[in-house]
Amino acid sequence: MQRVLEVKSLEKYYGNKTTLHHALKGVSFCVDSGEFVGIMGASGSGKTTLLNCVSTIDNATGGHILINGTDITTMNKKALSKFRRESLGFIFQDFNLLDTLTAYENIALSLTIQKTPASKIRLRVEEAAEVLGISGVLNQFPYQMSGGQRQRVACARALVTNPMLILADEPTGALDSKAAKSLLESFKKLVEQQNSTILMVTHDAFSASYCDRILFIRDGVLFHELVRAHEPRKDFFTRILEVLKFLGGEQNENR
Amino acid sequence: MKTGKLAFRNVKRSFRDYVIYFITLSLGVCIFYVFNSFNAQNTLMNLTEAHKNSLKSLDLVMASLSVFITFILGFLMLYANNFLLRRRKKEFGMYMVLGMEPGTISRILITETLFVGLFSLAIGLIFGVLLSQCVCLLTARLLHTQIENFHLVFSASATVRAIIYFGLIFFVTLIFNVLAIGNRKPVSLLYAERKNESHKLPKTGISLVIFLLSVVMLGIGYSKVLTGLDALKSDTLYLFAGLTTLGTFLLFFSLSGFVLKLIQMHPKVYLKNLNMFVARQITSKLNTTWVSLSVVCLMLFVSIATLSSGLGLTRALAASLSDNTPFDASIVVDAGFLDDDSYNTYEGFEIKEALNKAGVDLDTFAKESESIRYYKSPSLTLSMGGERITADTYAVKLSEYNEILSMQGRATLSLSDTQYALSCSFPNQNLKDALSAYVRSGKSITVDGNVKLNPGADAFTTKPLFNATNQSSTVTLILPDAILDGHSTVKDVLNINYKTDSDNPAYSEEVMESLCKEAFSKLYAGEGMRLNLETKASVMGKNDSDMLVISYLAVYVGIVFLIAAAAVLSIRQLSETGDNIGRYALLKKIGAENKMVLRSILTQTGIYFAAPMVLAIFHSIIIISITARIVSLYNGVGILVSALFTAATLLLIYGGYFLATYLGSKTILARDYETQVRGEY
Repeated sequence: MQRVLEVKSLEKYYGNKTTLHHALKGVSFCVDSGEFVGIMGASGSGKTTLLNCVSTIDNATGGHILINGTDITTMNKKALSKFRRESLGFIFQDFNLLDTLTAYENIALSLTIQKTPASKIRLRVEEAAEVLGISGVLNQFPYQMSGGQRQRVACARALVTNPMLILADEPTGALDSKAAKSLLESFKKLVEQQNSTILMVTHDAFSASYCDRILFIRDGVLFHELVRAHEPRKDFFTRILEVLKFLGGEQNENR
Repeated sequence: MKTGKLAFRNVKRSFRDYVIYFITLSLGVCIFYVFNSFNAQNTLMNLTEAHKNSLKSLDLVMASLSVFITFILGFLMLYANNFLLRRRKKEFGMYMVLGMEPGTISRILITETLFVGLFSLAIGLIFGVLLSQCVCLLTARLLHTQIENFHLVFSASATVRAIIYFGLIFFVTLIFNVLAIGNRKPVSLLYAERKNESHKLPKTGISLVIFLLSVVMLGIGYSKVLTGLDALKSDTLYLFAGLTTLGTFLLFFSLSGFVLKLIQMHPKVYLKNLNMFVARQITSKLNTTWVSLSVVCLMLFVSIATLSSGLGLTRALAASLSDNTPFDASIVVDAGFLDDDSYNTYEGFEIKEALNKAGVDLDTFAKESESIRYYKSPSLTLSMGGERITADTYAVKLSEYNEILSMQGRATLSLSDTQYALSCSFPNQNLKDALSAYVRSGKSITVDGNVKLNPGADAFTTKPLFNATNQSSTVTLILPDAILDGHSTVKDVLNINYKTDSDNPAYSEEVMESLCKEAFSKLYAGEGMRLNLETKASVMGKNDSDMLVISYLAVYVGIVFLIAAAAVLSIRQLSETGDNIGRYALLKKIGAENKMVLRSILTQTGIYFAAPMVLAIFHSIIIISITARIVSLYNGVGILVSALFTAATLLLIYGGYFLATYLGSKTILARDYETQVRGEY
């Protein structure tokens, strides 16, 4: 199986002259092609910092990040932009759709940025919309859609460029439970049918229970890892809750 | 002074938002100072009384115009202030939530406004003083004099005026700010930035119809002015102004409805880079700001039209100036304004004799003096530009005419007893061409009922026969003396050249004036009779004064409108970049390169600045073409120089604002991008 992401002893410091914050203290893990991996942790644990580093939006202080064998920690700004648009897809908590563009245009935008020929755009946008079940709303503006539809449009936008890795930051955070469930089903479908690779940050145990594997982060270090065996999702969900209970309990003790 | 410190820090921190506000305010003060400081400039130049008076009258005109200008700048400042405030409402809401009292908040606002006001007032005045030094070079040129003992001129009256007028503007702004922030609920401030943008565009079909309507309106307005021979009538101009204004509003209203559709029809363009995004941004902006775009377009129109036309007219005046004063002084007694009865019995006026009787001895100050008498004569029918027109004429005796010529040191004219010549110094090329054609074709004229005369050799001249501020359009026939003997005159002229060796102060402008008046009143005090003394100095002075007022008026109004238009665009564009920072951050997140994002901002800014300008230039071309026609009446001086000056001013101010806006957007993007990307930190 192909290794899509390899993070090696990643370090990240924030701060200035007076304060210094050690956000990531040597995190290492791998993600293989076709995997749906979740990252969990309390707020302030460093999970978003980790995602920002992987998504090349932020640069690491130490360590290496290899995506499909390419080390992104040594790239310059311009190469990063190119890498980002060609190899990565993003899904954000608040959808981040451009409200002036229709769903179709929002999806097409990530293709035009890549300078895809205009003639190929329609077909690819329609394919992605088909997979996510949003063909009916393509000509609508974000404000005319439901939250779930918006997030699936954002998902289609991330998917349409056929990225090696899709990064999702709390994608269900702004959705009601029904929309969240249907989005997670879509993720599952993408991983199973399109062999997409998804790395999802979440603090919600229910969302996490759809993943194949979950990494728990606490205070900037990898604290625990859960792999879903051939078990019902409900059982996996229970195991996640147990870990979270332990995580939260110990945190409380420390304080 | 905790509030003072906070206010100062606020201004310093939001300097980026304030930059355009600062620039505009300082520029406003600077321009205001320059155009109010003319009276102080007279210490720099060696000026005649007449020129000093024209500077004084210019100062008066400018002072009253400045009230109007203050209103424009005041509205502009309020508009700009409003945008600044909108971006900061959240900050003040936060102060309130933290428990700051409304009184304290108002105090912070007052201190901030004072900081900004005083700072820009000071900067504006400093630049105003410097710029007025350069402007006085221009004043000197317009007054045909040189700068002597160059030193820094400071106009106290202009400074006081600027402080009072701009103080008023600040005061109004202050009240506005306090009302807008001080007494509001924190909730309404905290969520002030959240606004519901409308993405609904007008229907394409309706928009197209409105667009076509606006084009037709503009077309009719344009053609009315361009084709009609009566273009200069006020009715036509009102119609043009009305149609242009309405057409402009409708045009900008209709654009958003179909421009997007037009681009979408070309997928190769639409689906390229960020074009889709840019097109949507611009249409949504057109949709929400068509009113201000139309107003900006009209302001630019006023600006371009006044700058180019105003200067064009002064150049025309300047060109006609030197021809209008062939003598040191001319005394003209004209019976042309008498009522019919008195006119018919009028027999003429001996100016020399009158002066003698009034005790004026010409020989003491005049090197030479010659009179020329104008007689009644029949009118001429000419063919001018395909139209037949009737030209009024006077007749003069050949001998007197030749005396006048030799007084100017020019070759005399010789005519046989059956020949005539024409003279007309009205500065209209069409009339001159018609007259010239008339004599060249050998047309004869009949005078005294039966005497037939043919044109002599070189029978048409354009040199004036006496001093005049404006030359009349009446044609002068030059006839053999014998024909006019025994006829009565309608206008008597005495031309005088002063003695150059003795600069007799007793016969200064004022003395000459009173002498003439006295002589005139002793001899004839008939109703409607006029005696005019036109000395070289006074004609030049009047001309210079006219030129000074017209050109500075045009430049003042033109520049203020230009600044206002550019500032409105700039403020709107910058505040929009600020509002849309999230969109740009998103574009970068999904992989758009910085260069691509910047280019999209450049395109947006460019189109936003270009759209009203292009239409304004179209409108202006029409107005300029009219001015060119008027100007061509005056010796056919081209309008090229003033057009170049206008273009340079536009480029400097409008281009400057465009650049400042783009760079401002770029800074906003660079600074806010990082925080936006990281979001939570």
